[in-house]
Amino acid sequence: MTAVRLGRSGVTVSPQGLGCAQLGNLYTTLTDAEAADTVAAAWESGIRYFDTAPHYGLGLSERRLGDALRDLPRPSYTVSTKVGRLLVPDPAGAARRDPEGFHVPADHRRVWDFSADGVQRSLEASLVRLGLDRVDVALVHDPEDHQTQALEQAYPALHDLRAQGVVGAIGVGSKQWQVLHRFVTEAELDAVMVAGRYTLLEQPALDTLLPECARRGVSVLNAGVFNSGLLAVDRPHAGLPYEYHDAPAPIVDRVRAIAAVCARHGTSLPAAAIAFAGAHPAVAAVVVGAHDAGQVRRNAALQAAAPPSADLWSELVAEGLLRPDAPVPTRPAGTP
Amino acid sequence: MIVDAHHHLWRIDDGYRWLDEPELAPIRRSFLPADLQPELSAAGVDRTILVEGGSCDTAEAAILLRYGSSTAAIGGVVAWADPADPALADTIAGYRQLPGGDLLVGVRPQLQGEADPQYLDRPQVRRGLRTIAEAGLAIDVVVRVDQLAAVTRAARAVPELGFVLDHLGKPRIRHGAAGLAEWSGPIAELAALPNVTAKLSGLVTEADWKRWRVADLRPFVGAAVELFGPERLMFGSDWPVCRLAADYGAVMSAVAEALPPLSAEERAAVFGGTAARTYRLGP
Repeated sequence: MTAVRLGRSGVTVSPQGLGCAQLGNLYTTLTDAEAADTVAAAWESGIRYFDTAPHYGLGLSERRLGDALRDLPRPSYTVSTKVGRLLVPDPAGAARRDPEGFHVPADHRRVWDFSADGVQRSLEASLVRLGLDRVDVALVHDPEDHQTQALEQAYPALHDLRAQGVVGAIGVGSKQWQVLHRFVTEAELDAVMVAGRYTLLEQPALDTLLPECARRGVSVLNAGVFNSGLLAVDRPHAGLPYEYHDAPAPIVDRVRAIAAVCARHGTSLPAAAIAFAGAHPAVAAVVVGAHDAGQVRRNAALQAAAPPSADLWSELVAEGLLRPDAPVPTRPAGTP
Repeated sequence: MIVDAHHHLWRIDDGYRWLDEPELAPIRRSFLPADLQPELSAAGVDRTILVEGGSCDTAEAAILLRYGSSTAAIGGVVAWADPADPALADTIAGYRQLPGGDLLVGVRPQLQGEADPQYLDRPQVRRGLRTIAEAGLAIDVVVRVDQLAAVTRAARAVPELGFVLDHLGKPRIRHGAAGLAEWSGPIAELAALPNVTAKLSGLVTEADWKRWRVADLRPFVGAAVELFGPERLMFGSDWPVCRLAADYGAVMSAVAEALPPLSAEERAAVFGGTAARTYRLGP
């Protein structure tokens, strides 16, 4: 895989990154060995970019990712983690399960903190859990309800850390494209991580966010490209997650219609979903999560393969299943 | 009759994304029938085969066939289609219904963009190859040198289909002896199959665009004549892509000069007869 630079920074990412929420036992429990296998499979598939956060399993994702990367050459990979939630010990919660979807004991509480001091402390704690002496990318995580503080305190703190060389690149990650758009216009970012808002199912980020990123040279890290799992299977069905909950019937119907067009064109829904997610010129990497090594290998192979034929995209547009103004992948080719 | 067995025409706004590469700026504009005609007249070319231009879109076929029906010199059109398309037979039948549809002589997918080395081995693709043969068409294959072995397997498995190898399989002429060495084995295997012909086209583009000489092409052209013989070789200008390295007249002279000594009949085959037979051009 060829590396792509994030914004004007010196940090590069592979075209596919491994989203590490699953390493924090999102939806289901992984053993440490399974988590290690997942990262190893990513490495063997050429993936050199790994995204994690304190939020994912109350630190478990960062610990497992750090363990899995420990013996690999540090200059060869890129790690992003996030700031905005401090993890505060809560021994009284240890008997309960984390209420935010991760199968871990609730032995810590998440405390929102977008202050400069909070950013500093969050990153220091992340480095301890990762066992690294630096992270490459620091992203402000989900600042939806704290935008002013994040812009006035977290962002300047990250800006300073980047100037000092403590982190290589900075940005913001959110499920809300409007929030990302505000930060792109009001701050100097290297990257934004957009989660679930630019996928084969829905493209609201196409209106203003992605064009603004392209204009300003801000790299887009496109995450949640399977919309929590709904687009990850060849034949989608009711009961699959969407936005971290069961998908509503109209959404399932739409995804089924997309899958049927994919099948007619000799490809599959996940293949088309990954190819589409990486096709916008502002996108530097597609960040894909996985529950096991097999999923990682499949997702890497889907991205490495030639994208589906041009006819697929035109038929999706004709059937009203894809916006006509969305850039679609073209097959790499030499002179004809 | 002198035939140019390989050239293109395109409208720049029709999705030819490969032209976005910075070094292709010199040909990043529309090339229309009106641009072609003076080149043909100057070079003395009577007929041409117009080949799809890499937009990988079925909508392109209608445009190329229309150019064919309104341009006397265009004797045949090789249109893009996806061999893995389960509805390929319908796609081809649809092309034939279009104005100029009787000019359809072949199909070309952009195989050089397929990363999977086993792409041509897929059952679905093999079915598509048989569909092309049943439609009475040839397949043009534009591949990288590392894909030649896969073309050989496919041509052996579908002997009823005429395979036309574009640009001699894109040997890396600019790498000189190393380019010749990596290409010689696979091209010999492919040339051994009777249902394969090849185009002496696109060679200057595979050479050093600024500094190529006829001597750079000669080992590749010579090997092709030895392996295929003049009866299975056809000249193609690859205009306007050739303009990256040479204009229409220069590329035609270069091929003529790179050929070993041939009889008049053999030359006539390379510069017309083979193309007319392969693509079943009328008189």
